[in-house]
Amino acid sequence: MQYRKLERRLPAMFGLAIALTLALSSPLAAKPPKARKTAKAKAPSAQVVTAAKLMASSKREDVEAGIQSLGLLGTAEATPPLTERIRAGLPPDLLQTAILTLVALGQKEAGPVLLELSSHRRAAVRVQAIEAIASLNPDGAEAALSAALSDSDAKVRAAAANALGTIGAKGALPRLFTALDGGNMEASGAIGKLIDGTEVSRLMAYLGKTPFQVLASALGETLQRPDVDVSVKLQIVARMEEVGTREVKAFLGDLMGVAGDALGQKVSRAILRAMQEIPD
Amino acid sequence: MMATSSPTSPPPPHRALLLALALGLLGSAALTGCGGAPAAFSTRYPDNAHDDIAVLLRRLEAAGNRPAGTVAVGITAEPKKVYAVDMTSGRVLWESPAAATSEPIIAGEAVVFDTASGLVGLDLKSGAPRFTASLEVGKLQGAGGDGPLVAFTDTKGGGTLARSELVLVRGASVAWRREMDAQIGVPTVIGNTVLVPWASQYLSALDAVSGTEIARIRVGDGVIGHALPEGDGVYIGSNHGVAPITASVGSGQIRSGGFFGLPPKDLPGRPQLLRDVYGEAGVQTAESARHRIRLAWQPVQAGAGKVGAQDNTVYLVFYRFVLALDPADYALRWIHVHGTDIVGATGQAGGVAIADAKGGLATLGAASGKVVWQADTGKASTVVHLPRGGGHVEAGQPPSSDELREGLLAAAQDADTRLVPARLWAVDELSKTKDATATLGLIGLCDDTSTAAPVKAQACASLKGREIGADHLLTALGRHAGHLEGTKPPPVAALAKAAASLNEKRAVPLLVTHLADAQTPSRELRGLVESLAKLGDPSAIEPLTRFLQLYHADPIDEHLVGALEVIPGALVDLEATTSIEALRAVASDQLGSEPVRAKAEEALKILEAKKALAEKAAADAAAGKGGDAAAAAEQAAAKKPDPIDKPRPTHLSTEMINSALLPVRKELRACLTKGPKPHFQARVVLVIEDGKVLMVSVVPKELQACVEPLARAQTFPKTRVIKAERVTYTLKRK
Repeated sequence: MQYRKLERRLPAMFGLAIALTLALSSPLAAKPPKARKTAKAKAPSAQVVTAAKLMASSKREDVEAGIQSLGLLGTAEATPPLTERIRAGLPPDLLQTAILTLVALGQKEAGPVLLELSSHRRAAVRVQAIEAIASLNPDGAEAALSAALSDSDAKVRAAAANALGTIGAKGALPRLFTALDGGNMEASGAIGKLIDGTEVSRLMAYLGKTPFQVLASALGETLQRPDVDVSVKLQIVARMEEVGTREVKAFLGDLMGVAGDALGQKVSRAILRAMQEIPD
Repeated sequence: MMATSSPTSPPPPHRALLLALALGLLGSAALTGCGGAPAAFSTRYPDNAHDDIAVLLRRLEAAGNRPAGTVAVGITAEPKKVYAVDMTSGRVLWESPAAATSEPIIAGEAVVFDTASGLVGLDLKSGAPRFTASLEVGKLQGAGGDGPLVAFTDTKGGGTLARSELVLVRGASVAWRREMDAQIGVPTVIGNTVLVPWASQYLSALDAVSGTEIARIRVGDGVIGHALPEGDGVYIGSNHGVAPITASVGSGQIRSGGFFGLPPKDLPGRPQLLRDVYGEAGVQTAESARHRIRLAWQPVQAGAGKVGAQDNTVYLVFYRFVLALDPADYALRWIHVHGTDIVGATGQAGGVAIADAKGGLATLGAASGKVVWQADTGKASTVVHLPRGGGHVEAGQPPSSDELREGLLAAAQDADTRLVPARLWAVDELSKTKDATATLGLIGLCDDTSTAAPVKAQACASLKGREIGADHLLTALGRHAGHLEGTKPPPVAALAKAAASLNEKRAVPLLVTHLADAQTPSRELRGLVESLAKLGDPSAIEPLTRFLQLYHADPIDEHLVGALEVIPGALVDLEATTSIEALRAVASDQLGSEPVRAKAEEALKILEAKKALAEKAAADAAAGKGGDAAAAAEQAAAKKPDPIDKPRPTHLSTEMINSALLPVRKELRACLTKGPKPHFQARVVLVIEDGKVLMVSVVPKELQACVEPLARAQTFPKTRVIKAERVTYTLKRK
């Protein structure tokens, strides 16, 4: 809803930036965008100076216009004045716009302010900052996202789990498993993205003990990963066949439909066999 | 019955006077209305007659000291039974079904209690029925006895409408009754003398055989509601205090000799030394909660004419707690936490005997508070009347400070919400304990979300006064809320205030971390900020400034705004001249929260003044004006700057407009009727900036010429709104 509202307010190009952010915050977006040209220490352009002046205004419209003009500028030099303005304090709607603009600008220099905002007192801002961190993957991202797994707000925890999967933070796996134990369903998908062959057994141990719905995304992610050994995948399928519920059968059917050939012949055959074995 | 007044008696109340006149007309016939017995409680009877008092004292002395009883009596929960227990063995002596409507009272060799059909007396040792007696006047007020004699009183009404009677039972039958037109207290029998308090100030002594009054004490400095036979004498007094019957009391001064009272401070549940017989209607019911909140004590003559409490201790019973207190100042000696509600308690030599609602009996040492003896009667009871004796009490040794602290902590942590007043008392006592572990205990109480709110609040508040235990404070402050870790935020504000009181600067980085932690509840932030200001560590300036900037335009909740409002003041306290630019930006940001901006503006002025003074001092010093100028500048800087302009209102309200136009209201109303066509009302739109009217627009237009100059001539309040404000005012005829 908030995104749609913003889209109506912002110019077309800025809407594109939002769309980009939305796409990046999706669990399917595995890689952060390439950073644009980094800012160099030189005098700011006239557009940046104008934008900074607008942002210093006491009028909401001016501030919003200043932020948008920096977004439209799209260059690295737009990031520092924006981060400075965020730190100077903005009403929540303008802060949201500013964060989206930082994501659209795609500069890792935005990292420190985003890390700060990941502990903002407004949960919605934390979620947004986490999604931005996932998108930009700045230095310190893994630590901040791991910390956010312990947030009091479930949406923030979910966003942090997704983000850890997105940035490929393998170091966060132990905490993700702890989060999974605590009922953070999004941790499952992240685990599926990060887990390696040796740790699959740990994930398998959850089968039959944890609701399959919670594990499904981890298993789906693992089965689709090309870097996971086929033998490991076959083990997963075999274990799922043992569980043998209708839920598992439906999941395997959906997976075949979505992933298809990407699963590989052996895994696909095993899945089909399992589906035949599992009664309706 | 009252007779005519005598010069030595107090002026009779109006009703008594009328009655006296009536009696005068009717002759002595009225006296025969009291069964033809000699009159007692006559207004003719002399007060404090020396010879009479001497006779009374001799009679009391001749009766000798009575031994402490060893039999307890109780009333069970439904089905109701009265039972007796031998306290020397804990053995139930007897039990008897009884429809008791009052608590049981041990009176001589009987136990008496009220029922729907009258007072019932059972033999104390056997439970055999002894007598029944009707209450002719009102509710049972009290009873006492000695051997086969039982005296009881009943009363109704108050003031001039009061009526009471005293009844003496000898063996199995009523020996005599005496009525009076006044309130009556709790009687007792000593040998052959019946002692009866009445009308707040009187104690009459009646001969048990004849029922005639033999002596009367009237005190002018206290209240007599009870007559109490104790091991070392007979005491009289009230809920205010007691004194032994001596010659000095006989002279009309209850407080002149030994008098034992309690400090004026309220105890949990406000139990009284003795029941307020003139303020309460009769004895308690068997089920009354009063049996669970009471003071247990025993008066003793402490030598040199002084009176005190046995073992210099009074025992406060509060449901499941027993608190041993110094009667002089209520200093706590020990606290006993019982498993079940206590429904009976009596002070004994060396300790206190208690009885609980499940039938348990125990004695606790006066000094140690330890259980010395216990027994189980198996009689679930609503009330138990315990004797002074039993032989199982041993004062013991006072508890160590660790034991006392643990007892207090156990009491404070008790989950029973009925006990909150006593738990608060325990917290208060704990806060007086000078050891670090007590601080830890208080932190635990303050930190525990399951702690009852008042107890938690008091524990948190008491942390501020702690002088030791800083390490525990820091450890607690080091904890943060974590969903994965299963940790909750500590009570940051309370801990911060405690750290500030201790000037514990090690707390500063911990507090700064909490300031930045979104999981630290915003309600804790104000106390945190105030404490950072008090601690005066400049390392807090930068995080406080950042916090103010980040949130000044985002008032998430009232707690956050409250914290933001105190940050500018904190920056002033920290002399944060480096924050001037940030404060200026916040103060001028129209997107920011108004109250926060106002505070920032105030702080800005102070800090700018400080900075200017410091710069001037530095310039003077550089110009060689010497140390005096520098010192003067320093002094000036240290001095609180001139007060900032009185805070302006945030905006113009209707009340302000009404008030500003008040001087011309009559003229304005007159405008409504001046034109060719009168109007009932007009709409006036005012545009005001900085207190001055910029524009006046009036509808209907024909009133413009009349209204505008009147409105423009007025001065309106200046507000915090920098630009012009547009306000609408409705002008009505009335």
